[in-house]
Amino acid sequence: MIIEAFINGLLFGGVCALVALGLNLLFGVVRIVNLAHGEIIMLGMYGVFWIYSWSKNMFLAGLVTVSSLIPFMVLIQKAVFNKLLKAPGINQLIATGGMILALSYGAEIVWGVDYRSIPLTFPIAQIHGVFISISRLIAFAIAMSCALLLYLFLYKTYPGMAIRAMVQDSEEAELLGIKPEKMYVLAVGITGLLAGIAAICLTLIYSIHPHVGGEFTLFAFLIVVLGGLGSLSGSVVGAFIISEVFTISSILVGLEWAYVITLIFFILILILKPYGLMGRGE
Amino acid sequence: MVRKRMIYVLAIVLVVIIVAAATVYFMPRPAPELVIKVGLLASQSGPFAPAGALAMYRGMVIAIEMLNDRGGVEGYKIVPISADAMSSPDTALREAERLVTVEKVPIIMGVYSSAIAIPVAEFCEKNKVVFHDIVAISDEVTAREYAYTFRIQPRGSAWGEGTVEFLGELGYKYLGYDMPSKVKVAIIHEDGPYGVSVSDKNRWAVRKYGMQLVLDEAYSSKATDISSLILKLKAADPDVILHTGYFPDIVLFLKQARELGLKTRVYIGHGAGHANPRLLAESVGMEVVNGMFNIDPAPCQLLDKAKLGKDPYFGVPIGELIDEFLDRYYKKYGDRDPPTHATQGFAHVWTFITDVFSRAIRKYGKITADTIRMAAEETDIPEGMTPAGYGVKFAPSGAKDKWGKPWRGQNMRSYPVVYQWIEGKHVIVWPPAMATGEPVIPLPPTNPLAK
Repeated sequence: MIIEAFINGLLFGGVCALVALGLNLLFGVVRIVNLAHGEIIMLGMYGVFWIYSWSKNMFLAGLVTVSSLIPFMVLIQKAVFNKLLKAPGINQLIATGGMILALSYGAEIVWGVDYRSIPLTFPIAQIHGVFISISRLIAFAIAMSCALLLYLFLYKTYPGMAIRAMVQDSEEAELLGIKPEKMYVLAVGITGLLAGIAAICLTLIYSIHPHVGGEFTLFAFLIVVLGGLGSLSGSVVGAFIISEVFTISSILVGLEWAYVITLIFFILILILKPYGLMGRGE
Repeated sequence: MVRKRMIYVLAIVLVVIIVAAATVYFMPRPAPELVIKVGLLASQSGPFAPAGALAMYRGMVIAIEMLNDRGGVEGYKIVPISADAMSSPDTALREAERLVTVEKVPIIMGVYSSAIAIPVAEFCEKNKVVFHDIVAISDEVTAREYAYTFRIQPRGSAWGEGTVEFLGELGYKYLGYDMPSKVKVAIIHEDGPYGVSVSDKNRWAVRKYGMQLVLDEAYSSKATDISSLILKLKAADPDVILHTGYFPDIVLFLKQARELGLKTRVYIGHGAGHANPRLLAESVGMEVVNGMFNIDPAPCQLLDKAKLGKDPYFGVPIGELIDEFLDRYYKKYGDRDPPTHATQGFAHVWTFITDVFSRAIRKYGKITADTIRMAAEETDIPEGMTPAGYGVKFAPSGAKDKWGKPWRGQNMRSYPVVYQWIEGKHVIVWPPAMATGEPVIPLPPTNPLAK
């Protein structure tokens, strides 16, 4: 049972990493803590649902959703984030918190409150008596692929290196000729891409409703802070650590206590490493 | 000369004013319309809405429309003032405050979730406004000796006890056992007041019948992963899973249960999302819900109309009222088989208004929170004389239930039934007096959760 729990924790971690990556990239570059990241993913999930319902083609649904979320995020950046760049942190939290209400209740008005699902059934996979959730395996595989591609982009391409320079020291980067506005658009676009991919994976696992985004927000923020704000590798490491702590403790002491233990663990790590496992102080 | 003319003009003006005033004063006016404003508090948005709260609200609205089409009650038209609780206790309290202080309603009807009903009951008690709990079942709602809270709906205890009673009196035989004590039971529930209330009595009844409790665990209804719970269930290998949840958590459980190869012989839900197998099937597939049991007040379309009498107020056969309700529900919302929550909204509002309001007006001459309260304390409706099927008598002040717990304001005559969703239809299997068929145990082999 513990081995099966460990594997499930790993797969759950993949799902969490997918959500956390976009959030962390946005903070790392644009320095905006986007509380409404879950709601952006929720919109993506609706996009996947409606397009799949019409076309019965998951690839098309994913392509259109991702292609739509990228410009949508750029629009949000220009309309909201740009105005918050120099604002106090509390203003950012209030503004993005307001976005949560606008997006989730807006979705309610447009699409109603009913729960929706993509009627896809996956075969049951069993290896040596251990059952593996195919839907989570798919999400895990996609998450790891995204993490790898993101790594290659950030470390092996010029725009990626420019983004990393912005993360490390935005003023120095600007002096070196890197234009912050272009980097913001690029980073926000990539965040939209990651949110779209997360939406595709999450529709395979969860019901879609206007408030589904909020269900991932707590874990996403725990992961991002634990891994280190602005550290993308920290997001991946943090996701697996949080998910394993949660899953193993829920096996040993129960689901309710698992939340308590996970949060205590999180607090202890922050006491020892205030900037997260792989974050850098400012 | 000029002065005389002035006096003359003034006299004429004075006469005109007096005549005009007298005309206005003595002119016959249309009689003011007699109205009773009632607050309808329901989660029309948010996670509770599709889990049954919206169906409850729709049932309440149709009940009031049907009453007004018949001229209202004692000449009074019922004016519903809607308030959306948005699936949030904080929002519900704000809306309750608006209903009481701005709209000045003497009664608030509604509430689906026990997490909302408990604070709303407390608020109404403090403000001396009647709270008629329509759906929320936590025992706590009527366990505080509140004078202004009434509930026709059965309590969570009845849910918890009812399913195990079904297993202990009948279900164990279909499992191939010669006594109930051989049945292995797992109890899983959401960790709010609803889940706790139901599971409390699940446990009590399991002990009463001597069954083996192999797993007993709570989880948050907002959990994003409950795979560990499923792994523990697999290890425990129960014959029966007793599950109390809302909707998204039920979907998550069933999806993950299927993916992780959980097998069992009987699956019993305790209301909420389990009451709408068609909606569940959209998320998890019809094969997963086939054979699922649920416990709830019987949806009115399942009641045996031959056993129902005539409506005590209008004298019309209750079966005809049910047909009209179902017809209206279909025309408005396109659903021929509404979930039980719609019945609860319709039947409980209909019964309360026709019985309690009419008595309050006849006996006390007016509708206020206190006249409603006094009239409700005298309610005494026998079995079969309401659209819900059961009778109504509210527990008086100081009364205690069979567990020694206070239950003032609780309907002592209501009860849920156990019914099974099998091959696209609901069949009532317990209690025997209400049964319309035999249970199918174990789960059909086509169900992926079947052992």
